[in-house]
Amino acid sequence: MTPTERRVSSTNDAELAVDARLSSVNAVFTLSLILTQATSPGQVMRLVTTAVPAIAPGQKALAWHPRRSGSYYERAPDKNSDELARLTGPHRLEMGDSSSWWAFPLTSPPGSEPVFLVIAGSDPLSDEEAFLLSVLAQLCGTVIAKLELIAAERANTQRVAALNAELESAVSRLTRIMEIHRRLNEIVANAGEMGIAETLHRLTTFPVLIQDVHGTTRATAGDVPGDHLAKEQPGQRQELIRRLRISHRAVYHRRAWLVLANPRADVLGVIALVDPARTASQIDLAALEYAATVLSVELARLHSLAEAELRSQAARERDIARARAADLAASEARQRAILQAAHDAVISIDRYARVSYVNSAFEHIFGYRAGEVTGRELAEVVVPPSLREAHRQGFARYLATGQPRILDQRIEITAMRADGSEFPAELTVTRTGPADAPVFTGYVRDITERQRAEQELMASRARLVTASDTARQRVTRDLHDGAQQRLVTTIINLQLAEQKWESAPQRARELLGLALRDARHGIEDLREIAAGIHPAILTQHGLAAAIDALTARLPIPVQIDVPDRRLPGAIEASVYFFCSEALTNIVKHARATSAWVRVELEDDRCAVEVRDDGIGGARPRSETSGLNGLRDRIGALNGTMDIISPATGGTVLQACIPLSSSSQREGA
Amino acid sequence: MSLRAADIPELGFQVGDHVCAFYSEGGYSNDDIAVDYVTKGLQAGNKCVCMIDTASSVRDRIPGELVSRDGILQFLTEDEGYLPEGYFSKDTFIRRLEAILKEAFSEGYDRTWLLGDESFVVRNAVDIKTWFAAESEATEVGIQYPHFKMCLYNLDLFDGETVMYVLKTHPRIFVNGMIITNPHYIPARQFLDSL
Repeated sequence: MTPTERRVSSTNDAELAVDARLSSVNAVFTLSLILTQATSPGQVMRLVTTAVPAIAPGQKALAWHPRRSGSYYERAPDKNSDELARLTGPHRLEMGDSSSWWAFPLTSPPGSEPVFLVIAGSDPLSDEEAFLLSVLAQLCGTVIAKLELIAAERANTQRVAALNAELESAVSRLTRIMEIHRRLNEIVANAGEMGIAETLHRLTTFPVLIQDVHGTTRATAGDVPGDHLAKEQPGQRQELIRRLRISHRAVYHRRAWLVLANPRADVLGVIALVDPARTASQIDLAALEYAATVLSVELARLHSLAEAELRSQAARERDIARARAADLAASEARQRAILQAAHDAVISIDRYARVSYVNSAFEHIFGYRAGEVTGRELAEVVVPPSLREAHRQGFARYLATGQPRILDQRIEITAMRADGSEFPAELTVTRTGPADAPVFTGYVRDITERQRAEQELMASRARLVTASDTARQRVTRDLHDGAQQRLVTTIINLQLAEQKWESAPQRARELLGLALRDARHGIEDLREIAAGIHPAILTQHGLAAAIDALTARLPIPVQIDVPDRRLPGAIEASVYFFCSEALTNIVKHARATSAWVRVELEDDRCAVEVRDDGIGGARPRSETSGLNGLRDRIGALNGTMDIISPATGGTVLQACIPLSSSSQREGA
Repeated sequence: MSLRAADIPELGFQVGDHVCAFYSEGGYSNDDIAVDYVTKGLQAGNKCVCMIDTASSVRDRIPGELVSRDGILQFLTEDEGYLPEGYFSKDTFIRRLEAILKEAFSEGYDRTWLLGDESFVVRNAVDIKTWFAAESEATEVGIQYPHFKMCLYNLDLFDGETVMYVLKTHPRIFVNGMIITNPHYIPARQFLDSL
């Protein structure tokens, strides 16, 4: 080869070397463009490491990280970790073998440990190769950082998109659930359980069934199959309720979704979404569960209303019952007190004529204690033997016919005491109690005293009539025997005096004197008779003056103690004749030497006492005697009269006459 | 990102171009690139011949009115386009390309748009050097017939060493939505000499 040829050859070699270097640079540059279209760090690193032999022939490439392994790199050997961690630029590694090892850091974000492109080959890298690989490592790191950034952005975007989708879904679901709530709330306010069933059916399109805790259907909506309407066995039902209570969510049972309506701890009902194909969505089940909540509220409301009504009714009934009981107790107490305090005997019997009650008056009148008669037949107790059979027949007839003869009437009967004695009684019988358990109560009044008083009254009236007749006869006799005879004698002597007036004037004067005497005696007789009827002095001057005049004519001294106070006329007359009759009897029968008359006036009565020191032992001698006449007179004024006349001597007649306010006013 | 086929002429797509494009899962879609490329060719009234694996999905996305002539859009299977003999032969392939371009020209088309997805190389274990020898020669094929050639490479299938071969055999690159001149391209003779 000539020098020229060598020069040309040398020039060609140099050009080829430059071309080779440019080709390598172009390769790195072009590869870096392609790397920008890679879609993952792993793809980038794979393309780079597999392209290295084309850039640096005879070399192989690895991707190491000082501390850890990753998706596109391996963890460096421990002995090189610290060395790698300290590197900031290309560096030759001492691996202890014959190969040449270089580490080129990839560009990495600030603060993070870089991954290294590690090149190993039997031949050492040229400076040009080291430069190209350093550039390639930085380009590779840049692309990977960009991809990681993009991946992070994409992940963020996806996360945001997912969140948006989730949010949109949640909003959609919430909107749907709000619509469900709104509809159910509106319906509950207007239509109750049926409205809940209808609304849930419209919202979900599934048939809906509402049952109570025992399985009884309360409402349905949609085409509910018949087998869902059938009630389960109690044991099965209880087991189902237990499952629903535990789950707190919808439970699929017998081709339906079930939820409990259980406000607080109470189970009030079950709401079912009939779903044989089990296609209900979460929204449907949410609607079901909210419907159960709404149903719970509705049922709780109804339950509360019912409880409140029951409480109110119970309270009212309790108040009424208490009031009635109080009234009844008061009534019974009052009635019992009345019956106990009654003067009449009260005796109650049942439909078998057995004594069930007697009062205190019964015990007093009949001589029984209550315990002795309770439960015994009435007839044996109070009806005289001779009348018992008639009584039993009458009672049986009333029970058989219901036709009363003596009920609510006042009748007089003959009753029998415990000692067998009989007495007249007035009886009134009333019936009380229900139709099948009647109670007959008899009110028995002992009328012995009344009958005796009536008899006494009749006798008194008879005596008054008799006394009146006697008095009239006495007046007639006295007029006939006394005043009339003296007046006749006076007239006769006057006629004789008239006849003798001319012929015998002295005799005529004697006859006139006799006539005058007889006239005077006649007047005195008439005065006496009149005083026996009603003394004028009593009318004109009162009781004290009348008694004083009365005693003035008596043959024995009488000491008088009579207040000078006017009393009603009837009382003054009765007291006057009482004293007159007593003093007359003293003069006629007592052989007394002195007598005393004393009248005491109190607020409500007038007490009269006439006393003597005679022989005593005074007794009314007949029904028409003067003492009986006085007793009648005093009795007519509701007064009483007593005679105290021991055989040892002395007699006291006492009378007590009530002073009514009217009589006092009259007297005043 | 699509090919923006409508802008291809403005991007500098030149008659006789042999362009490589890369796609991968999560990035450019080979179907998207194919649909845009074919659509542009049909809109220009040019014949389009595709040797891709997803013919039906691409065909379905092509507006029917663009297929104005019978044979204006042609899809060749892997066997029809690359392996007519049951294996890959560089010479057979080159002749096949020439025949396609000649036929289109004879059919009156001004231009022919060729599109190939080269994933068949991996599936059929075609020798890398043989294939890229064919790629290198293909740049020179049919220069007398106006046409465009675009080769699609799946970055998930091919490694960096293969990519370096792609870059050496395609004078132009479709990258990031643009067609740029490939500085690493090696003319066919030089490349074939280096093998």
